[in-house]
Amino acid sequence: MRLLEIQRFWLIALLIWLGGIALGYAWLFRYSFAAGKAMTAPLAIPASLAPAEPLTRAHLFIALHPRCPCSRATVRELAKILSHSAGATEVTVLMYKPAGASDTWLEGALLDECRRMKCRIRPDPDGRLAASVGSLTSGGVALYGGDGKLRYQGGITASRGHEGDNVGENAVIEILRGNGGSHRSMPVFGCPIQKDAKQ
Amino acid sequence: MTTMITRLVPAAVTLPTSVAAESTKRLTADELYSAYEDTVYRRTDRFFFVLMAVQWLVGILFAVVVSPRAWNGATSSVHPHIYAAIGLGGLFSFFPMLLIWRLPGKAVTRQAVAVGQVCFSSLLIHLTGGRIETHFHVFGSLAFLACYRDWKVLPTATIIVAVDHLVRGMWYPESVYGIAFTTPWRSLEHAGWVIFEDVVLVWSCFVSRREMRNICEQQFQNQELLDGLENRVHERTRDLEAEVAERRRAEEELKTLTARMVETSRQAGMAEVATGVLHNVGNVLNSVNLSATLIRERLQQSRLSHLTKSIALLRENEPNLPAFLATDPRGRQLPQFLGRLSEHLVEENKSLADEAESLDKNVQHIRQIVAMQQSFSRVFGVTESQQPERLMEDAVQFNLTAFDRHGIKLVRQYAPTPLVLVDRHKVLQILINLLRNAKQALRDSESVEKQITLRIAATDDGRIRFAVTDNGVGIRPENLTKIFGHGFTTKKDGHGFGLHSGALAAKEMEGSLSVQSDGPGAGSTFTLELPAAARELAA
Repeated sequence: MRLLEIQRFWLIALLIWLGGIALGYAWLFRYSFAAGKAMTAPLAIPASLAPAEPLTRAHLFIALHPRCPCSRATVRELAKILSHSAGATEVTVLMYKPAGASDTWLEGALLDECRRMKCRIRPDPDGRLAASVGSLTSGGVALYGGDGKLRYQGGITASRGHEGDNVGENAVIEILRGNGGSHRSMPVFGCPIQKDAKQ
Repeated sequence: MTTMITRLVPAAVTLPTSVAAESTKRLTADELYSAYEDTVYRRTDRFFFVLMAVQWLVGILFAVVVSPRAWNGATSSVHPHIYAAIGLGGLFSFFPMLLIWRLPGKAVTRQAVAVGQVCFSSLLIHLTGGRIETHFHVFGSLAFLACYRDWKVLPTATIIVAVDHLVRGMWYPESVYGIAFTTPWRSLEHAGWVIFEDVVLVWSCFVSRREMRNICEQQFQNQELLDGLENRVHERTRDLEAEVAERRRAEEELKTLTARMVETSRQAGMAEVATGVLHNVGNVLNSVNLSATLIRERLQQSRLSHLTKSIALLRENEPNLPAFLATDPRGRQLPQFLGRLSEHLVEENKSLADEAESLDKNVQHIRQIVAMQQSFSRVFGVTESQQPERLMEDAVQFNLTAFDRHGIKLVRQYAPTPLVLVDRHKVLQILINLLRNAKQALRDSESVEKQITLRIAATDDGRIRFAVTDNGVGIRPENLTKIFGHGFTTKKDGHGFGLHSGALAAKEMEGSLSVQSDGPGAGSTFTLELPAAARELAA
């Protein structure tokens, strides 16, 4: 009888445990799928970001928080885009830093990776430049065509920190290849660049 | 993988403590198999306890290194992945570890371990963004689970992996495959590889269990053989113990018999000594009797009455004594008569004095014999330092009369020796017996000059040697080896105790008794060797 009670106890504990696992996964997935906030990007490249020379090809602006762990996946997806689009676009990385902080705040793995990809790096005090292209979350991309018009806005990962083929990435590649692209906007997954951009 | 399993699983059955405690009761092959199973389950449980703890800690460490903080502008907080590593990793690990602690070896524990382990795989795959390399954790986990040798844990793990892949592959493929677009076929492909491994692992589980059963059956047979052997050893041990006990009992009986025989022979020796004493006393008493008779006859025949008659005649003629002596014929013969009477009385007195002296001597002799007997018959067992010559002479005294009677000449060759530490009476018993035997050998001999030579000397090895040599009838060579045997005798009236008990007594005193003879008519020598007193040796 006592053995039965013990078994019943452990059976209940087992069920509770399995329930806990399910809840834990639910919480984790919820976090992973929590998209960051974004604003609508301007239809043309804002003046603050307009290149000095005339546009000859597409221009991709990507906002990154240099210390966001989730954005490593974004940078790797960017590398894939560049490798698939064969120099079809200029890339400007708007690297967030707090206003008044020195440029050393930017240093880290993300910056190194961007340098290796020969991206143009622009420090972005308080994320103001990113906000000018509608990005309030690290990993937000704004792609303008060679004509200066907005073609895509959003993330290039499917969820927080997850590499791999996804809708946003494929849309950008298709646009750069001149195939139009099925999507114009996707959620961004990453750390908020500005405090008011909480998920 | 097979190598890993082999390394983790020992070839021999190690019984759990509870089973080992009952090892006095022989286990059947099934019981041994159950014990073996339990050992494997518990050992693998312990392995997973460590593995899960390490996985958990490594997961936390990984999260801390890779995703330490989540940023919100310029501010940061602990990254949710760290919470996930601590919380979810702990959730996956804690319950199986708790079960391992509380219910080791149970099926529910193994199943929970399987669930927890593949959940951990699932978490790692998710956190690494579906990196294909992380999928190896699934295959490694299945191999580890196979260490239980319980195929039933593999379907549990496989079902969870399959469901996880299918569900996430449909709803969240990035978290499991790292890509956003996939088909159910990819999940089936992953499941196929897992099933492929499962087939191998399930087969290895069955093979391993069959080997376990073979080992247990072999061990059971060995136990049976061992039992048989042990029973035989026990039986043989019991037989040997009974044999030893029997021998001990026989030895005790032999000791008792020997003691009785020694006592009997001692008493017999004492009786012989007493007989000798009485014989000697009797001989002396004959002389005493003779002397007494002679004295009585002399006194009866004494002429003292003639003196009384002469004195009465003189008193009767006292008034006219001169005339009587001068004229009376009786008076004239009286002085001459008195002179002759006086001479006769002096002679008689001398004769009586001689007889009285002889009588006194004989009485003294009897006293000496009695004193010797009293001395001899004191209690045995007292060990004391003795003068060897004194011992030999005391023994001689018991036989002296017989030696005189048979005209045996004694020759003494005594060298200076230290004392001997012995039981005096045992030595006397031996020596008296040797002297009596020598006397009898001489009595039966036709030798003209009968002689006994007594020798005493110290040997080089610190012993004292008493030798009694006679030139009597001698001993046949074939009897030399039997002469000390119990009951052996060559004498008509002998009983075979004397030399046997003498040899035993010599051995008791750490000495020896031996004989040497050149054959019939060549006489014999009996040698008694005894240890010298230690003090004397030291001196």
